[in-house]
Amino acid sequence: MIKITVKAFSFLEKFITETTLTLPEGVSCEDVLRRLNIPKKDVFVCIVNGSNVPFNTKLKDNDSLSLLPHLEGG
Amino acid sequence: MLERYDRQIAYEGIGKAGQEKISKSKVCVIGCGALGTTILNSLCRSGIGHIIFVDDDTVELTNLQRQMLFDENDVGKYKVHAAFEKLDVINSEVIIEGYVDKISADNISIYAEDCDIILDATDNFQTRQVINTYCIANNKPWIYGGVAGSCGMATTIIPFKTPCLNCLSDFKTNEGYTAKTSGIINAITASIGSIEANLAIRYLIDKPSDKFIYLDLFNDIFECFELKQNPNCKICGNK
Repeated sequence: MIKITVKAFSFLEKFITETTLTLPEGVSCEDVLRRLNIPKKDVFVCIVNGSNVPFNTKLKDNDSLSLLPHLEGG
Repeated sequence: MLERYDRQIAYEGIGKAGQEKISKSKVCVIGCGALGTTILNSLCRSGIGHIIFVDDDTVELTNLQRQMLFDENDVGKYKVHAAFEKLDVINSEVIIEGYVDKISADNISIYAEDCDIILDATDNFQTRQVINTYCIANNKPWIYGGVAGSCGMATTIIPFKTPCLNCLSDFKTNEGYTAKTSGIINAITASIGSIEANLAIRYLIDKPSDKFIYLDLFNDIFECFELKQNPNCKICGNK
């Protein structure tokens, strides 16, 4: 099992603010979204340990995942 | 000629050499709403040599709260026409071309081909995908920006050096948060528009940013994230 911290920004705070999850090894950012019932369409960027990563990136123990909302306005 | 830029030149990050690069630059701004008017205002005052901008909308009363180049007399006019009138008297040294048109894959090269950089001031993801695909295919840098509510983000996309839009996100459809769905405050459009203009100027004077910038002005969040290219990106990877 691995332990990760998840932080959601602004509009995504309606799903979670910050939480620590214990998950099986091999889980991806997408898996975390599904587990937290956060629609993928609401998330623009996944940030792991301070850098953007593809949504299918596998997470490691003690990773910190930040989720930025999809801001479409201009 | 340089007198009007005296305070900008006095900033050591720009200097006379930077100002000369700015004045020789040609940029394309796609969209003339809240981000677009802030970007255009800033770039025009900074002395960009040649600005092309494109939008197909007209000014509505609900735009006036945040679209800084428009006033009550402009309601009903094409945004391009109303903005052109203002920009033309802000800085007559700048060559300004405004076009009433909707950007698509078929016409983007008409406006952007000779430009040094493109600035995104659109309000939908599909047009951003058009910009991204065009820029990667033509090795042209662009500035991404998006806003909603009190939040906004921006970054410089330099093909094959920084992540492209497709590296950043799996998003494919227009279902994000917008001013219509989530409301918006003018502080965030002014902030992100100014940041986009500044990112463009930094690129033009060879001092590009390599960060992803995120602001939330009602929650006091100011974050910068590192950028990583995705080597498996279908648009820009493995090139």
